[in-house]
Amino acid sequence: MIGLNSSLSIATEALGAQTAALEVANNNIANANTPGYSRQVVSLSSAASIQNGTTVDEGVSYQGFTSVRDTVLDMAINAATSDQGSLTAQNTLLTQINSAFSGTTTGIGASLSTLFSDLSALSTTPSDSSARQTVLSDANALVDAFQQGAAALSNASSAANQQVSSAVAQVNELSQQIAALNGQIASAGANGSDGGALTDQRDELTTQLAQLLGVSTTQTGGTPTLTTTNGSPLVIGDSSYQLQVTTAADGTTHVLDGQGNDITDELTGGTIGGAITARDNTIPALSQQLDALASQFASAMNNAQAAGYDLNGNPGAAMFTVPATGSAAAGITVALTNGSQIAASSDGSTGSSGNVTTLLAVQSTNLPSAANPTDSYANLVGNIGFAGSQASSGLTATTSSLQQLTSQQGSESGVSIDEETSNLIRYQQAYTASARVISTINDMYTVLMNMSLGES
Amino acid sequence: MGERSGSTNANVVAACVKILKDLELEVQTATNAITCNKLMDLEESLWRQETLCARLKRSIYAIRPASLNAEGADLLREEASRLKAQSQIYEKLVSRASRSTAILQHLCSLYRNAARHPGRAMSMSISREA
Repeated sequence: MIGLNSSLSIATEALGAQTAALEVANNNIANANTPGYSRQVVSLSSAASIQNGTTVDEGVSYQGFTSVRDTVLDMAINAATSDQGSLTAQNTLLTQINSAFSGTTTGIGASLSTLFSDLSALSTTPSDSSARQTVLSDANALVDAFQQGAAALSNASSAANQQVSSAVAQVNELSQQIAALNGQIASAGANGSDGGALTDQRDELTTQLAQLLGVSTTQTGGTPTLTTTNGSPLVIGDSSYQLQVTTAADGTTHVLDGQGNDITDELTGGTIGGAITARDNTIPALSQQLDALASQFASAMNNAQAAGYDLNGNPGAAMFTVPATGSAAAGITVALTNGSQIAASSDGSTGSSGNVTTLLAVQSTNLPSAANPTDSYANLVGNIGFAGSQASSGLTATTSSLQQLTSQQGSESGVSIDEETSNLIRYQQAYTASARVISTINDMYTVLMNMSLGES
Repeated sequence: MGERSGSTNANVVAACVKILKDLELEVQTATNAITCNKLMDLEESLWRQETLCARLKRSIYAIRPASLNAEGADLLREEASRLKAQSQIYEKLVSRASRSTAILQHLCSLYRNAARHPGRAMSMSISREA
């Protein structure tokens, strides 16, 4: 049985612990909807000592408070956030490209169809200058469509470069803030504080960073280290390492680490990883396909032209010119300057339209890419749609996964007002019952005192 | 007859003292439960305290004051005083904890209302409560 002095000491400790618990609960409730806030719990331990072989209860000892965190879950959220950032960037760029190729009344597909339709009409009136001019206009429209398609891909590539530059600037800013917070957290730890709010801020910034770039978080000898997924340091303790951007000879934006090493190809995840993947893999593949179509189609049409004669009886000249280097689709032009140059005649006579059949045959003849021009273009559009669909469905799946992880984090680290309220009601009921017991004890005390004093 | 009734009274006093000691232990248990935020422990201790209080009441009224000797009276007075002192500390703690809980409940309520009516100034309610 403990003495009254010990009881008073226990009670003093208890009141201190109550005050701390109140502050923590107050903080939890006030931050119930703060993004990234981790619920704090009071750490109390029973204080006891052994005196003469007997354990003597000395009440409670306040150990401070800690934030409820699940590091593995935090890492999973950062990875999912990074995937989401990457797929969002890819999806945005592919949507932009898709809108340039999806037209049914304009664009390459419609222009090809119009060109062959008007060539077919020319076969009945080979000497009609108006019909010849219409075909020439169609060829010009097709060239414009090829150039617009190439421009759409080039614009998407430029947009990706801008995204990389802008995201790298944000990464540098966030890295600096995280490094500063690491310093403050270390100072708080040295003063015996959990630094919960600071750690929450840092975790929130790390998640923002993961949205921009795939990151890896480790603890090296107690020092928090943040690197890109390829291991380039971003933050070590309270020091940040700035990434740099540079423009390569081909005009693309490259990323350099703190030591000036080009890490562009090694960056994955986040806006930066997604933009680089789209710029360096998806867009070049589509450009190559478009260039092949422009080049092979131009070659097939030029060959067909060469097999005939124009309105003046001259051998057919090339209809299209394709640059020897660079993008064929961007540089393709119409070489003919007059409708009379269309080689409709197969024998050089004015009324002949025998070579129109050869020109029309290009529409249904396989190009070296193993498909005719119309199908080649359909394949290109299909590939754009497929890439967009993959990014879009991947984004939907990742967003759903991220929501589940965030919800799990919320249930483990977040604050539930309902749960807090329910507990508070139970506490209040317990205190009411305690007051009733205390009242009974007081009554009994009075009775006993009257009884014993009356006899002594 | 007188000896037997004296012995019976001594037994009742001993039982009463035992209950007072048990109650004192339970008050300590409840004090620790409140300070450690162990709600289940507190609720279980309260149930035991209420049972002990009922038994104490019965025991006290079974004592015949006329037959109470000085030794028995001292023992009762000493244990009752000790329990009283413990319960006074416990009372202060319960009062403080109860007020803390009331403030937290009010905060929860304010928070809910603020979420339902974002236009309302929460600070006014808080300062009024304070």
